Amino acid sequence: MAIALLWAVPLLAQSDSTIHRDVEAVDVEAQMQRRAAMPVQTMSAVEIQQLGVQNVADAVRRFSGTNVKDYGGIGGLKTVSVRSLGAAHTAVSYDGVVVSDCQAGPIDIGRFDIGSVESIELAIGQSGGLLQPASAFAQAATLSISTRKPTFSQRSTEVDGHIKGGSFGYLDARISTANKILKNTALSASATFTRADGDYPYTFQNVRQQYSGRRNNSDVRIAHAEINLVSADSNRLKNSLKAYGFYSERGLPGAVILYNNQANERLWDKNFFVQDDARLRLTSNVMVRLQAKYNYSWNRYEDVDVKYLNGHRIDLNTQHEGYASVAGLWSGRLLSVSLAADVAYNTLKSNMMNNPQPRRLTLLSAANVRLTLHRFEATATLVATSTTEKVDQGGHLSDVERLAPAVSARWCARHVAARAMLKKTFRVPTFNELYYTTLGTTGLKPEDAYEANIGVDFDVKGFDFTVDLFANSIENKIVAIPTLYVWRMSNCGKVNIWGADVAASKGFSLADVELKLTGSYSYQRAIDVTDKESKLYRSQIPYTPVHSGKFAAVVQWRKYSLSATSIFSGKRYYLRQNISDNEIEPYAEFSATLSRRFALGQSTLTASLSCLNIADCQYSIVKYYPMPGRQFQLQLSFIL
Amino acid sequence: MKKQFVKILSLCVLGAITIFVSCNKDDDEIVPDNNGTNVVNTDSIARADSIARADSIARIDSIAKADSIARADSIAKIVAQPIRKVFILNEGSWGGNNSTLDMYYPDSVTLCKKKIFAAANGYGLGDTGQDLLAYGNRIYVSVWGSNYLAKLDVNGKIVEKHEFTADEGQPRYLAAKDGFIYVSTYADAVLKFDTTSLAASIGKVSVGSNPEGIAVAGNNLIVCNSTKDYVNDNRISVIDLATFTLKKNLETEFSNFQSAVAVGDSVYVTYYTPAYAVEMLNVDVAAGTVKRSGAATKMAVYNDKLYCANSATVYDADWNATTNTNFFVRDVKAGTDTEILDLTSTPELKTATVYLFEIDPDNGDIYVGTTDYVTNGVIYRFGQDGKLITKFETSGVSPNTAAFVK
Repeated sequence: MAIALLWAVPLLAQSDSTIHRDVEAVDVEAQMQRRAAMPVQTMSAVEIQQLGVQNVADAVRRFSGTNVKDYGGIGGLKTVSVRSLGAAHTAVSYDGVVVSDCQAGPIDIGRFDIGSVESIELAIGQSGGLLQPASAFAQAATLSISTRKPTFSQRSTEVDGHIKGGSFGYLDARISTANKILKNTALSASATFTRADGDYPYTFQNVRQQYSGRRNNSDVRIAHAEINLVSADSNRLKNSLKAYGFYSERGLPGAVILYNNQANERLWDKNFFVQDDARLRLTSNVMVRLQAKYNYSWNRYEDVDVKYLNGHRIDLNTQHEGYASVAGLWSGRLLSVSLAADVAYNTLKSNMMNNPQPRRLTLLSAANVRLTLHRFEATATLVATSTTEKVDQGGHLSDVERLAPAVSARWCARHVAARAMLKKTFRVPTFNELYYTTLGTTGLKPEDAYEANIGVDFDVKGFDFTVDLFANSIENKIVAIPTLYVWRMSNCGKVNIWGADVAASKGFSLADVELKLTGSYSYQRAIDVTDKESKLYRSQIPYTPVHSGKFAAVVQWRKYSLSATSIFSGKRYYLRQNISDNEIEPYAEFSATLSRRFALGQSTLTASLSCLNIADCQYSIVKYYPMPGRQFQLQLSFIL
Repeated sequence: MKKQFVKILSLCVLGAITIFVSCNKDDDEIVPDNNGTNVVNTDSIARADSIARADSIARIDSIAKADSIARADSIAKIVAQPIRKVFILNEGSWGGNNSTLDMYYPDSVTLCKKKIFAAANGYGLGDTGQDLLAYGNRIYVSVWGSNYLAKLDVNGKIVEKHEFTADEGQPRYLAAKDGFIYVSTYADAVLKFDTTSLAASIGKVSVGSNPEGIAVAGNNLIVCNSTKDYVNDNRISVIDLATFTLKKNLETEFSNFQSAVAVGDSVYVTYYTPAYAVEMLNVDVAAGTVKRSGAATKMAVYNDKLYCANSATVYDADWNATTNTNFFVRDVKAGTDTEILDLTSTPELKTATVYLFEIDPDNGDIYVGTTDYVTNGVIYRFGQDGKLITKFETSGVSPNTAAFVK
């Protein structure tokens, strides 16, 4: 199901004719669980496999209201902006702990290993859970990636993995084991290796000619390993400890520049973190949650060109982060209250000229109060942020002391649910925006985001239909302002955004054939209202289609599954002026995946064949960063 | 009486047009290229066509309105001259492959053909057109991102092209003298090309860091060295054009030079201050000295006078940028500056960033092109009297250079 809206999950099986009041009450409660006050969408591992989803970014772009900026290919940067707020307003959490990059801001969601994913959830505003770290309430949207957990099944050892190969030198192999080492404790380890040449062909119109070529310098190698220690003492304690390592080397092909195929930029990344997430039930209505994380990330950028001193340039960046959070939840019959406090300390060292080696201390606290009255629920959230920064030399970010409120409400009946929310958030400028040589501006203020959403959801006999209307606004938007010599970051943008997300899904069953159809459509206006005098006043901001949509059909028959998916996007502009010269053409991409399961005793083997971009549509999401045309992939995955 | 004048006038002009058009058709002129090879100029037919189509109508219009023989004479004289064109290079946005060339017909006042490179060649100019030069009835254009130097005919059609190797570096600015084209490149070099063949460079002189603007000053080529990896070069290089060797690297207390012009015997150079303001220096090449000479972001030369545009950007407390622009002409002998351009009808120019500043060598008309780096640029054309003649939008972002041909 391509856009598996959480509230769209069909009701638990029930008998229609004899509904006792108690049953209905239980039913409503179940629905309250699923139908959040703020739009939440999920995709499960099963759907990922059935739909032939390529990576986390590919999953996210199948959600409605998202705009994934994808520079193409396996190694191309992929970031997600929700409802045109900008990618820096989307928090990404990995197994419950927020991933941060104080230097660049938006997280490259292409780097996560899709093979280890159990579910991906996108919450616009915030997800419904109250027992979360303060950082989970502090941003305009949260993308939560959850990895597969040991099941504590009868078997004490589980082994699973896959091998995947495809066009343009793509190879992806994963192996994972989970061992039950104690009654309620499992130790698991996984390793993934990915490589691709990425030298796919592209073609586009260059006035009256066709300009074609192959992507050059777009090879990538990624190695990724994890160790997890998970213990679950039934209801009392759940603890997961994770160590994560990531290494990659990739070529950066850059934009296709007409008549010039030189591309020598390369990027190396190393990332290591260890994190722990513990939930403890103290009494029947009090729970606490503790998190801690240490994160190290390093990257090295190299370019070879005579324009640099000694013919090459090397940028080195190292970031450290220490993070801890404590959260508590008290749930009463009508009222629930949660409090959370986070502390994060981030540093950046780089070999940049005059690099100030910034250190940032962030204190976040969040309070939630929730009132539940049978079918109705209302939640108020207040997040307090305090950020202090120190540098070795030069100016630095002024201290940030802010409150950011949110309110939301929902009402659920058997076949219909309604929701509304208002939320204010902001993002603190990144180290690059503040300190990057010549570009950075230390006087920047945080960028403010305002969100409003109302939605309604109908669910009748397996037919689910949902509509959300939203209005957002970005103020003090941090944009690069050009001057004769340099671009400078400045808080001078203002964007008004409004639109609608509409989604529907329906399942059919005929004998042993099951068919599931899902589709969504988004209308979005995101206009630049920075300057009334400007030619750009009320122009649609770049890379934001007014119309976009997604469609998926999955047929299952015995051990076979066949899916067909499509993503379409209307025209967009790649520069801020809305003239035809600056348009990026609309596209529609179609993909199909056929899978078959084989059962061998207790083991399962699944073979999948995918054809991606069947029509070989030549399109780009980012102008002059062409996306791959038709590709084939074969995947064999197993659970022993 | 008046009617009669108009009649005579119309006849005169029509006659002149006929003569001119037929002249052109008969001649199909053989234009000597700089190096003695004769090239058949395919432009003339197109020229005649466009005159008949576009210009003549505008001209006849203005003639009908004219009311004196004197005026009619002068118009007839203009008509009898070959058609004049102003090529305008739009830089585009970096990585956007959206550099374009426009062709403006100054005698028509209003006619500007957009994107003439794409129209003439069937493909785009490419990424980041850097500099444009009219020389010997040909147009030379350096395209930085797309990494080539091209020779175009007067309709914008490519005659020849040089693609720079990784060792040669990407091309920046152009200068010409005695049948040779000089190109600064980011390989810390100035390359020399013979106008008869751009296939390979015929000489290379190593200069300072990532040279930008170059200018012919007598027998010298003045080279503005800029910066490499944020390390600013404080030298102005001087190349002896007779031998095409480095004469000297002139050490200064300034650095990060941008553009150079020669005004008679004087040489002026702009440079970036550490705060990225642009200032002017007066260079005494022989003595090897430089002295500060006011602020200007763009310079142009006409009638041995230095014309300047200065777009100075300042930040307020909230880091919002404001640009203040003024225009002046300097009498380099007297050392006096006089404000030029009457901006009453174009007050927006006072806060616009001037990105193109050129003077028509024929009549001294001043062309000012503005940029906001985001939307298509605007060209303002002023007369020598400082009055606005016309303004029009170009086909691309950041118009940076104009080249005048006829």
